[in-house]
Amino acid sequence: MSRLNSVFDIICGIPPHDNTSLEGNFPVHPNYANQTIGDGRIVKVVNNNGSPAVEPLTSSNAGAAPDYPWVVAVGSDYSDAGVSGKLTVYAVKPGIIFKTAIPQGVTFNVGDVVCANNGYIAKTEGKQYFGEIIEVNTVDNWVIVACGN
Amino acid sequence: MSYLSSVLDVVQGWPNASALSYEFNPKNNGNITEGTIVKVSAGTLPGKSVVEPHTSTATYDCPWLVIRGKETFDSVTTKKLSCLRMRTGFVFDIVAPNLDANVSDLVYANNGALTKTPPVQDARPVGLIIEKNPAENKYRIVS
Repeated sequence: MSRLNSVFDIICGIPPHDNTSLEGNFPVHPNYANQTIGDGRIVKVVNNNGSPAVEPLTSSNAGAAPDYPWVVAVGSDYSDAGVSGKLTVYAVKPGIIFKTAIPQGVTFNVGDVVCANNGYIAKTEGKQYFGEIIEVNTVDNWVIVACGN
Repeated sequence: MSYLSSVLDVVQGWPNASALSYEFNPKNNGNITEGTIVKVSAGTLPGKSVVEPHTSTATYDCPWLVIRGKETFDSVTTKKLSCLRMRTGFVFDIVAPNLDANVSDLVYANNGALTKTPPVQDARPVGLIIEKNPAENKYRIVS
């Protein structure tokens, strides 16, 4: 990777070291080409004229068709992604633990279950959750999220 | 590990790949032993998340299996419990004399112990029994 000030980190589940999670490499959907989709964002795979692409995920309501969230490990904030034109993402539900920056305006506590709102972790009630907060550091502004079914 | 009479064994998924492990303090320094199913909550100190016995719920819950509890020398030294995030793909053996379940039964957590009776309606199971050894009260569970 090549973004030295990133606070994002995979703690458990990154392939091939751990083999827990599924890795994918997808371009950003053209509708979001003018946005930076950085590391730690939660995305979904969508159809782009017959080819897969990703865009920020907003979690569906509980009881709706299941979401398949992915977390961005190498986003468009990295030169790697700039060169390849693709983001590196990991499937969330098979199990992954990652550290990520706290989105602006949200307060998390240990034990909160999380979903996604426009690609950012959130704790909106009634949504499909994919993980929980297991550590909070408000000094350095990060949380650790443990994901799974 | 350092607990010769252990009744818990992770058969697949840890440490050779698929399970997610993390270390937590026991809440109130409680005597949480291996095989207990726990949940995470905030500790009294920042950055010191703790775990306590878990009971399955009907809503999204996040159970963890204690694989090194307070009875092991390692945990006494580190003051932490080693836990695996359940429902992420691993298989474990456990001796559970009070479980009284059969192969293909779903199992749930009730105050940290395995049970085949859902503690609440529509509770989310933590695993499925795939083998049973009645002579030793041992179960093989996939989670």
